[in-house]
Amino acid sequence: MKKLLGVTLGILTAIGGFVDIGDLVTNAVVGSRFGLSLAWVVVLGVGGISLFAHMSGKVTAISGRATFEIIRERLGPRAALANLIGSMAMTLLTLMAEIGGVALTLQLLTGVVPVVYILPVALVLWLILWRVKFSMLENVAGLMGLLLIAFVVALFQLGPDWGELGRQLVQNQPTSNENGLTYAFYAVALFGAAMTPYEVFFFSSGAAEDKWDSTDLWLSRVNVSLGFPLGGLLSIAIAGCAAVVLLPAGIGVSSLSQVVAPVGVALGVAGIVVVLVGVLAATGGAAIETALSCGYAIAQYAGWPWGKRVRPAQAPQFHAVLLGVVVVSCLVMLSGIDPVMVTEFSVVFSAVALPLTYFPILVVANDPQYLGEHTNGPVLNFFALIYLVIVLVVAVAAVPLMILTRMGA
Amino acid sequence: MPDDLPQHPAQDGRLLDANLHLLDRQLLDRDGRPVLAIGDVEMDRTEGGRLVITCLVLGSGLTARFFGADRPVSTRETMAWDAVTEINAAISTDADRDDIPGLWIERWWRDHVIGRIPGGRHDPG
Repeated sequence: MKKLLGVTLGILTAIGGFVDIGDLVTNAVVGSRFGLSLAWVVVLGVGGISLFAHMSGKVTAISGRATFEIIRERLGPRAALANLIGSMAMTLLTLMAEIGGVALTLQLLTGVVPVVYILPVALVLWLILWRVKFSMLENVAGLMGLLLIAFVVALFQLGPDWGELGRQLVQNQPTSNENGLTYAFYAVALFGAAMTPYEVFFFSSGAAEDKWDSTDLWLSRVNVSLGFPLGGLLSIAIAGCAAVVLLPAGIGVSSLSQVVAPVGVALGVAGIVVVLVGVLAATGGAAIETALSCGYAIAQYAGWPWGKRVRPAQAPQFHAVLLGVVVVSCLVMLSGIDPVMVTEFSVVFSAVALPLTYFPILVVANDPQYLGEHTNGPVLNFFALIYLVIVLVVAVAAVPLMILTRMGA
Repeated sequence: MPDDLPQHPAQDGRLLDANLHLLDRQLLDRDGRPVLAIGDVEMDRTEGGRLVITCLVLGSGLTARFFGADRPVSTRETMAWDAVTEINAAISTDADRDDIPGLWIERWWRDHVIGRIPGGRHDPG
C-alpha cells in the first residue's frame, strides 16, 4: 500500500513538475500562432526527456554517482568546466525566469506590480531551500502543479471544433500567414522547453536524495513513462486553449495574463484563480528545482558534499551556491527585466546546451563498470542514438534560427 | 581449487588505467561522504625500479592552471595511497574527514558562513 502511494506520488509530481514557465509561455505563444500544428514537437520532446531522465536516473541509482560527477570523469576537468559553465548559465537564466513567473502570477492574483514581489519571493525560496525536507518540497510543488489540469478542463469546456484541431495536429507545417523559418524556430523553442537540462540534473540528483538503488529502477520507468507524457498532455492543452481562443482573434501572447486568459473565457473567475494557483506552484516548484540543480551540478563537479538529506553545515559549499544563485537571480529580476523575454531566451539556450549533458550520460549508460548488468539494451540505445542526432541538429540550428527570425518576431 | 592457496598480490589480476579509473573520480571519506575530486597522482620508483603510486592529489588544480601554472608540489593537498580501501565508480578511503587537510575551504564555509546562519546545524525540518 505504501509502495502504491509512493508510485502514485511519483507520477503526480512528474506531471506537475514537467510544466514550468518555459512550457507555459512557449506553448501558449505557439498555440496562438500555429494552433496545434507544432504539438508533434511536444511529443518528441517528451520522448527525449523520458529517455534522458531514465538513463541518468538509472546511472545514479546503480553507480551512486550523479550526473555532473560523471561528466567530469568522462570529459576531464577542463572540458567539463566549459560544459558546467554552459549548463549553469542556462539553468540560472531559467531560475530568473521562474522567479519572474512567480512574481507575475502574484501580480495577476493581487494587482500589485511584480517588481514588489521579487524580494519576498527570493527570500521565501531561499528559506525553503534552507529548511524544508527534500521529499516535502518535491511533493507539495508537484501536487499543487496538478491544478494546471484546469487547462484541460477549459479546453473541453470551450467546446472547440475538434475536427479543426485534429486537422492542425496532422498538418505539421506552418499556416499560410507564417513562414517556414518562424515555424522551425518555434519548433526548436518548444523542444527546448520540453527537454530542459535542469530537469535531468534534478531527476538524477533527486534519485540520490531519495536513496534509489537497483530495486527502484522500475519506479524510474513508471515515473518517466507515465508522468512526463501526462505532463506533455498538459502542455498540449495549454497550446490547445490558445489555439481555440487566441488564434481566431489574432491575439499574440506576450504576457502571462494572455497565457491564462482562455481559462477565464471557459471557466470564469474561479477557473482563473485555480489555474493561477497551479501556475504559482509550477513556477515556484521549478524555481526550487533550478536553484537546487545549480547547487547539485557545481558541487558534483567540484566533488563537494551536496544534498538536502544532510544538515547545511555538512554541505556548506552546496548551500553557499544555493544562496549565491538566489541572490544573483533576485538582483537581476529586480532590474525590472521582462520575465517573459527571459523565458523565451532560456528555452532556446536550453536547446543549445542539451548535447553537453546528453552525450556523456549516453556513454556512461553503456559502461558496465558503472552499471553492471543494467547497461542500455539495444532498443533503448536505438532510440537514444536517434535522439542524439535530433538533439545535435536542434542545438546547431537554434542560434541561427533565433537570429534569422529575430526571436520569432 | 582449494581455498588455502596464497592470493596473488595483484588481486585477480585486475588492471587499472590511472587515467580512466582514478583521475577525476570522486574520493569518499570513511563514512562514504564526498571529499573532493582526484586531480592527479604522485608516483615514486621502488628499489626494483617499479613505479608505484604514493599519494592522490586532491582537487582539479584548475584555479592554479587558470592563472597560468601548476601548483607548486609543496602546496598540493594530497592523501596517502595507503588510505584507499576500494576502487569503484568512486574511490573509497578510510580517512577521517577532520584529518583531511585539503578540506580547509569546506571547514571555512562551515564555520564562518553556513554554520552561523540559524538552522544551519540542524536537520532539515
